[in-house]
Amino acid sequence: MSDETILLPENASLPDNTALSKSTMVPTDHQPTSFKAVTGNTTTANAMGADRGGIITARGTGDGLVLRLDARVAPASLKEALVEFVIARKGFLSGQAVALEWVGSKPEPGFVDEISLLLKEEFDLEVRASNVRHLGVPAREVGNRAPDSAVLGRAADRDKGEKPLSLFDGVEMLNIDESMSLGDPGKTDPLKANVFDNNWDEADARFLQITLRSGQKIETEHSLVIMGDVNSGAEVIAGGDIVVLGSLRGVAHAGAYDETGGGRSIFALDLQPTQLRIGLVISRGTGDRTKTDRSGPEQPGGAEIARVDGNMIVVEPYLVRGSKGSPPAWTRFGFGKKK
Amino acid sequence: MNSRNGNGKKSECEIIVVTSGKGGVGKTTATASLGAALAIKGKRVLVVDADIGLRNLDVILGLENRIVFNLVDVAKNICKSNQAIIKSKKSNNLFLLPASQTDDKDVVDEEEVKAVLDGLRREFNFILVDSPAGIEQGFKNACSGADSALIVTTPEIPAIRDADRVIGLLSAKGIEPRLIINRIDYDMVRRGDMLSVADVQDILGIELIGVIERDENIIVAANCGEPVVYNQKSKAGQAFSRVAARLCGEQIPMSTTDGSGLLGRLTRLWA
Repeated sequence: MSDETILLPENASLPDNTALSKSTMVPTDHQPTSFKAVTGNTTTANAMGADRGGIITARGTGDGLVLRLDARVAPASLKEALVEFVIARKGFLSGQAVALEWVGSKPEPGFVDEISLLLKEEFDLEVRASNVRHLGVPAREVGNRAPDSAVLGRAADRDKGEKPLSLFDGVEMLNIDESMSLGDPGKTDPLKANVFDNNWDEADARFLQITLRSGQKIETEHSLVIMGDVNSGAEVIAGGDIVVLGSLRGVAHAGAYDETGGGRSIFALDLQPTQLRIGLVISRGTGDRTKTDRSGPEQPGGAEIARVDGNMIVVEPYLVRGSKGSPPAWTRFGFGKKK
Repeated sequence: MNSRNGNGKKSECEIIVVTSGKGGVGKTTATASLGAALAIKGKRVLVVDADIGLRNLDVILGLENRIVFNLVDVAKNICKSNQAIIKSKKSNNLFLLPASQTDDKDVVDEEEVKAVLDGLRREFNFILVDSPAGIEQGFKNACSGADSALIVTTPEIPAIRDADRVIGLLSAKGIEPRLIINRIDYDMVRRGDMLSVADVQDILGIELIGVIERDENIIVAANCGEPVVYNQKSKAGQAFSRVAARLCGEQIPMSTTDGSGLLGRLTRLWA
């Protein structure tokens, strides 16, 4: 089974035919081994072994061996764990070319080189590739527990008590000790994460003037601005934010490499998505398809922005002045300097 | 089978593939009807059935008893193309190259089909290729060698989504698509039970070349083996005739009863 993750090439103006025609949906070989509690007997169909809380797993693919590394772990600990891991499997791994796969968040720029060097010099392991894997949707979470219970909540609907589906339900938290912890993910308030600190350096936003047709997919580590429509059946996956200057009718996944979603948001001039995903939270659209007259009052009729609030995705109108002229809702997300 | 006009000059041929993605939306009907309508206007037309294994174009034209050789035979050089091509019953300008019924779609590939079609360019003004449903080898074969495409859809969400997919694939091949909306029922549109032309255009955003109303005469015509354009009373037949005129370059405004001006709703193709 070969890796079908497609990262947008650096100089993309119009992605070529092969990249867009692949209609791969969610990668279903995704096993969230790094997010499972450690019992020592993590046996998943693909993992050839996990180490130290599943920080490092290895699996075989059609292209060769892939080492999955949890990028949230502190570099020193990760290195240590990696060394342990490789030594334990020396016979099996020696002379191989491996691909590195980072999950959880993006690794520091120099770190990937450090690891590659380490593997080459100490263990004679050639690193043939290094990719950041977007989160996708853990396969066993979807199925009978398909997100029927997670409904895009308009802010006003939140009080109606609809039970949201959190993909953390039923998945035990990673058991990592204090020295490796980056803080309790449940308590991180993505809204407080200083947008400029995190995002300014990688503010590479890919800008595309394109209408994505059904079956086409774009994936990038950066933020994505699409001037055009995203039709039903198309997918947009971004490590950053997603801005659609048109109608969003397909599936959009923002903050796709960060399990908290990183405070990312999805904006569209006409938000009628099939599904929205931010980090690991997934919600379906409330598009009422029985009614064909879409000029009715159900759509606020303007630009909307979706973000994570707790374990739910909340959609709010983008340009709304509160009574008495208070600032628009979107500035409360910490975007502009006005607070 | 000489398409030279009076002073011996060759006229240019346009190869158009009629496709949809979704099955059952009216590709074969459209191919037969447009072929017949163009022939009535004096053009030399070949309609090619590319739906190998599930051929229908011959039935719609009433020529199923006359088939001896077919597209696969021509592609594999078992016979010459003029041995396989059949003249239609009612018109001296309309010809059919039928498909094989006993093979399946993988029996020929794109190069073979393109070679056959290119060899026929000299003989005709229009070659309409009836594509099978789907996006696999049959569709790819039908698109090979096409200069432009006609996408047929009905105003229903599954059909529109499939059409959208096909538009994306055709754009990637560099084939320019135009849209035919089939089986629209303006009463249902007014009641809000059916998507309107504007709704469909909102999603697909390509040049609209025709809107065909739902018409019982089409079913009758299919069973009788006579394309609906020969029936003067049929609204669908009249609509197909208008599409044929537009294919010839005539400027005919869309006649709609929903009142919206459609001439402004042209290409929104971001490329």
